[in-house]
Amino acid sequence: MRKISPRGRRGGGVQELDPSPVVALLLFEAADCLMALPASEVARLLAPESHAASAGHTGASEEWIDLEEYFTGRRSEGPWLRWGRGKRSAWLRVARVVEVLPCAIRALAPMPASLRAARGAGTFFAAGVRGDEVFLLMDPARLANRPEGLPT
Amino acid sequence: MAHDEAEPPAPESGPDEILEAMERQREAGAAVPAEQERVPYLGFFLGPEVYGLPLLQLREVAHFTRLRRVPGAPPGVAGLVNLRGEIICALDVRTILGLTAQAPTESAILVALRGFADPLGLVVDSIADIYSIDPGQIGPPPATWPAERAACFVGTVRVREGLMGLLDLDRVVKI
Repeated sequence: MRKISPRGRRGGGVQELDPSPVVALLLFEAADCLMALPASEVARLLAPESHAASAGHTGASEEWIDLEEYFTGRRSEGPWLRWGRGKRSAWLRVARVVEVLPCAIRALAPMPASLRAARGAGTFFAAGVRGDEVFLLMDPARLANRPEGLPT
Repeated sequence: MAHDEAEPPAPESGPDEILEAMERQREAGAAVPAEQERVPYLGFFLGPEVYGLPLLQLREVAHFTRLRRVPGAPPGVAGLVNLRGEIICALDVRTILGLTAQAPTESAILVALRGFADPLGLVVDSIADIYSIDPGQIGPPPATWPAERAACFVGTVRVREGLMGLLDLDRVVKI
């Protein structure tokens, strides 16, 4: 009788025990929250004072969104991230870049329906955990129109 | 037995009378709610007021230390809580019920619920007790409560801590 190991017919390593894909997330702080973007969608990081210098080198249609101001009405003095997905791109100002965190897809939870439906919170499509802290996974493509109900 | 021999049944207590008496007792017993029909509720405090939710809809009670506020969330959502790796959407039941808003304290408690599509919980001040409620004792919410608040309750019942509002969780979570 042929024995099949717990790891499967091919034997092998840890990846067979944990088949969930892993995504690298760039964690940052903004609006007193821990937020994240897929690291693969972040191409550049500019120092806080770089906005004015770089504005002339970017396309006229490219947006510059201060996430602190977007969500709280207060301006941030943090660095800028260049987010890009396909033909869409934007510069996002954050309070602080924290780290790049490898995260198993199965460790992420979709946002609850009550938050997905809210126009402001609808920017976030999933949440994950870093230590004891919850972070919010953002889709910058949903930032285009400033939602009602947020501070102006 | 000696005792029975000393005090024989009264003449009117023949088998027919005894059977009739047994039948009457059975009928009377049927009118009283059996213990199994009582519904257990978890009582909790929001400030000085006590509220209850069906124990069947309770998953667990846990202290939480970090509440992650979500920008742009509806007022009824306090935030997200990491409960041993699971992310729970914590509802601000105080705001949902139209009570005076109060930021969750360090001693705040999360009452995690079961039976909903998303992992949900209620932020409460403290736990009161578990009550076995006779459905027949449930009365309507006081007429003094605003209609929006009263709509969040299946009724009220008097307990030793005061008038306990019994939450209609299906309504509460529709924020």
